[in-house]
Amino acid sequence: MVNREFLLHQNPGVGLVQQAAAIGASSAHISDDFAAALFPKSEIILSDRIVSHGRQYLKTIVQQIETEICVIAAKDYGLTHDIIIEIGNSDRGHCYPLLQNAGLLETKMLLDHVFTCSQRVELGARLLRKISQTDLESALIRHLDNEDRAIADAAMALLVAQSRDISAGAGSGSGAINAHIDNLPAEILFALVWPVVAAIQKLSSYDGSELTKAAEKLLGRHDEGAGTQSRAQRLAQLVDQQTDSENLHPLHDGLDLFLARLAKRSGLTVDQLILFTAEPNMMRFVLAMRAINLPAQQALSIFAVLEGGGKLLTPASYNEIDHRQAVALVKKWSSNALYQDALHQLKVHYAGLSEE
Amino acid sequence: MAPGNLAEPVRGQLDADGRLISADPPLLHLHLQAGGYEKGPLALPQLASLCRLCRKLDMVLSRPVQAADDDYLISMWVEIRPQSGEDQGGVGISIIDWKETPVPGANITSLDRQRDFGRLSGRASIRTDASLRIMGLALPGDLAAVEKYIGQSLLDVFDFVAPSKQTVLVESISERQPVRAQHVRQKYGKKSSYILSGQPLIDNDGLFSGYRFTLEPDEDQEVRGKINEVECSGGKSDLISDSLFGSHLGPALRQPLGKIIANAETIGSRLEGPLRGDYSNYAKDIASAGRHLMDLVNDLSDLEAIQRSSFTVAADDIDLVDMAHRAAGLLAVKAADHQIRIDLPGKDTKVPAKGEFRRVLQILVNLIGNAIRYSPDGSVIKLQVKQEGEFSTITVRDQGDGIAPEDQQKIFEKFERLGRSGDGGSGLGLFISRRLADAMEGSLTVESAVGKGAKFKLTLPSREL
Repeated sequence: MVNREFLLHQNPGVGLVQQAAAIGASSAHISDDFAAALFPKSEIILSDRIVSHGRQYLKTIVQQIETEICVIAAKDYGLTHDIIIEIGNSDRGHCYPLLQNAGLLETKMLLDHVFTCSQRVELGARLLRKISQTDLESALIRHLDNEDRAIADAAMALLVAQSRDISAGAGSGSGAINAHIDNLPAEILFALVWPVVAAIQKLSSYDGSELTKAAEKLLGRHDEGAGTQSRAQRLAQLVDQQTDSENLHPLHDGLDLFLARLAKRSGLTVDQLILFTAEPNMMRFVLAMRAINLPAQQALSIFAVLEGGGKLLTPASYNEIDHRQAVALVKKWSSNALYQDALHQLKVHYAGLSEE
Repeated sequence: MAPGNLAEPVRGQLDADGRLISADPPLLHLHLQAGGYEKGPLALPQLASLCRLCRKLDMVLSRPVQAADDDYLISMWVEIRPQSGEDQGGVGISIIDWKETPVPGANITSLDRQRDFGRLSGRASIRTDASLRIMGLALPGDLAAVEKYIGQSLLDVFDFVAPSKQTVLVESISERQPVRAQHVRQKYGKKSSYILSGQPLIDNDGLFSGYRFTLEPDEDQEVRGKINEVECSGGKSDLISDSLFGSHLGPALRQPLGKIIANAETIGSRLEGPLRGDYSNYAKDIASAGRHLMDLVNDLSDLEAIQRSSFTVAADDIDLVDMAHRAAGLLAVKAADHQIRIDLPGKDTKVPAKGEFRRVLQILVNLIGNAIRYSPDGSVIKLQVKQEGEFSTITVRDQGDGIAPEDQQKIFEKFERLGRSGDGGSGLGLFISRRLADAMEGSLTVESAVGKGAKFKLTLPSREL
């Protein structure tokens, strides 16, 4: 189901026999891929676009990290190893296939993050069908005049981060993959950097300390507060105490700020809300809106903007949701993630026992 | 802190073991309220967990943190940085946003319940202002005390029982430190014994604003106290309570005044929510006028006490350098308000003297308070100590307008204001101070010339170290 890449592809000197042997070895895992496609454990249907976005995102991030590490090692620590300098100057990724084949990119934390980023791109694209990027920005610009200097500063910081993303994503705005290491949460960057260091060492057969020092330097200078989501979250925290829920809408706030504000109101995380938008009928997302008592018309309008399958939410079905039950469920979802994962896994094996 | 923007980030620093080794007042206040203690492990769970993550990853984190104190839910945006160099292993905390919203009603109920449980277990509580004047109290089963105590100094209503000493309390207070397990007994009324503990309070501007004390019944002491009472018949009379003013009029005035001051301060500091700026200023004026009246009531109580023939003072072993530092510490905020620097003798010298600890402190607070009141902003007040034969002296010199020679004796007379008004003085402070100095077999004098400042000199009997 996934286009695997092998180092062999990139090496025209390797013969057909060796390629065939490598493909043969990989085909032993066909049952794993087929099982994943046949027996999906989640209700979410992964479109080709989401998978493609995810792969592109991950490749870009890994490539950025390997380039940064090689450049820092060469410039700051005087490393003169040919292969490492070549990787640093190259415009394509080298470590990704190694890491992929070794299964080092299959950690739950990383894949959850990649999925969230891919779905965020999807949501951004849906939003841009309703409103232009310029209008989205002007929604943010109004916060620049806020009397509270912290809000004005936070809005400016978010605008700067968004324009950086837009220029990195070739001007496509919210609909483009914002794959940039500046946007990574600390834990994700930490989890990726060390496997990449190991991969560079393997590719270059160089195990001097410069690479680890470069990795430490890269981690040390990373400021997750410069990331777009982090800045949106900060602005949401400030803005949400000033404004009422009437304005809570992606067309009013833009995607990042809207999600951050909804997350703050509901007690859920932005990543959870993005996941909810990928679920069938966005049911948990609708419940989250109901739990914070969003009026039906507002909820319907938000649903219409973010839903991609042409489905409709009716006022009757929205109002039918018991508010107290919605609050109780949202509270449960906002509990410890490990606990929820454990519950979910147990539910898979003993279907029907869950009170949900 | 009022809801709004922070002009400067609130900073703090954790050492490699997760102890909060330095913190700006709002963070320290929150840490103490959450059950932490100074230089102890950070007591804010979410923040502490982020600091651990920052140390583990050795990376800069920038995240939202929620916390709560008694009155507010606090939304913060925090940047946490691993430290390098000498502080390697530690982390620096920088809180760039700090937004407060009142806690939902449910929590207020639970606070009430907590207070009820406190009452049930006989636990009393006292809230004082920065000069230790009692602004509010709950003493279960002792309503009379509630009426009498409001507005009085904590030191005037409790005696310290060995091994606890008043000096330990005053030292803790001058350094804004928590007070722990001091044995005290009511001076009058039921004369119950308590174990006194307290935490300093920091107001919304991050300034020291008083103490919140809790008092737990000290049953062991209660038993010992009763035995002593039987043994010592006809003990010495209370300084204030057996006088007409002290026992009747004073408390009757102090209680409503205390309430006026406490409520006006609550309104003025916008603790209950936002308020129009001019209303807040009116409330501060009311509190200031209330304090002036309260000072007058206290002065009148003292006046009545010292004029009685039976008035006596204790002969404690005191050190004038130490007294100077304590008195200056109590007035540090007031001096800072006027950008006045108080120049103190070095702590390494000692000038031992005999005198009642509390009364000497009262005189010095009066002298330094006057100096602050009548000195220009930005000036220096100099305190000097000296041993002169059988006497020890302490002088308070200011850079104010000075006192004309013909007025220098007048200022020690009752209600003499030299024509000044509206500056918060009652005209009794110096009269009382001189009488107290005389009662301690010392003296209080002034040297001054117009335009050259004034030098007040307190002389007390010396003692051997």
